[in-house]
Amino acid sequence: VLETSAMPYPAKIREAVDRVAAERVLYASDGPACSPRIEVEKVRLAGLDPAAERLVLGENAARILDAVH
Amino acid sequence: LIVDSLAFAADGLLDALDAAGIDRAVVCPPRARGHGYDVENDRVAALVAEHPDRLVGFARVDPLAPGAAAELERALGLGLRGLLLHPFEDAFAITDSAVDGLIGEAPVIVATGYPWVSEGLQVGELARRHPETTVVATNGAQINISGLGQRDGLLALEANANLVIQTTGVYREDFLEGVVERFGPGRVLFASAFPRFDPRLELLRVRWAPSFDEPARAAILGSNAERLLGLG
Repeated sequence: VLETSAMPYPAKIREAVDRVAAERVLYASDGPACSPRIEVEKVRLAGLDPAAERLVLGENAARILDAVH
Repeated sequence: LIVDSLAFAADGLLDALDAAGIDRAVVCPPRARGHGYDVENDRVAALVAEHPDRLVGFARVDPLAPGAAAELERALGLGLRGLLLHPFEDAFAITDSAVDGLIGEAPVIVATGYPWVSEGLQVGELARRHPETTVVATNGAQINISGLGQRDGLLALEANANLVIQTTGVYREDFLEGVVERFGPGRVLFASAFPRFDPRLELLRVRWAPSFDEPARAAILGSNAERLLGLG
């Protein structure tokens, strides 16, 4: 899977979703060095459809972490 | 007033400026392919003529190409107001003596942070050689791989009062805040480098920086560019 932190290209997030899969892209901030607030907005500026945005911003990470026992 | 201190002449430029709420932009030629920079400089001059209230044009030349100085003079004669140098795309070192012959009163933007050709300290050396010229380093004087090169950028800023940085792509916003804290807001210019970066996102690095007060924000977003790049 790919995570989104510390690169300045919203369009690359969209490209990753289109070419790889929304289920394999995770929001990450690399905070506090990078601003988590801006890193979230970067995902929103990618222009994903709402379902894909939900996956990237949280549902993917929740699914992966829920699988850890 | 919001001024994008670096954008490239590309399709969708005006729409991108409108979408981000940017009032004016410095527009520069993209890399010339299959022809000389005279063609690109003419295109920028024509674009500026179509949108004189929104765009200010900068020229671009390859310093190692025959006739570079003459082309720069010609382009400035068309009303372009400064010079963009891109050592990586045009394959020259910013410290090459050929560059010195191009530097005069006009402000110079240098695509900065590229290994071997335009590292922060190399751009600092250009500023040292030409203390009367405003030298603008893109990308916070570095290519930001989580901060690699920050120290060189700070050293270059410390040594050269005529050197300023742009915010393009600097996702270590704490670096931008540190520069303002140490050197004051007058040394930082907002820029998007459209279409490389998304102006909507790049603006947030300035708008949402927790430590910037309103005067600092206004300076970085607009008035610094007006003053330093002669946009008034």
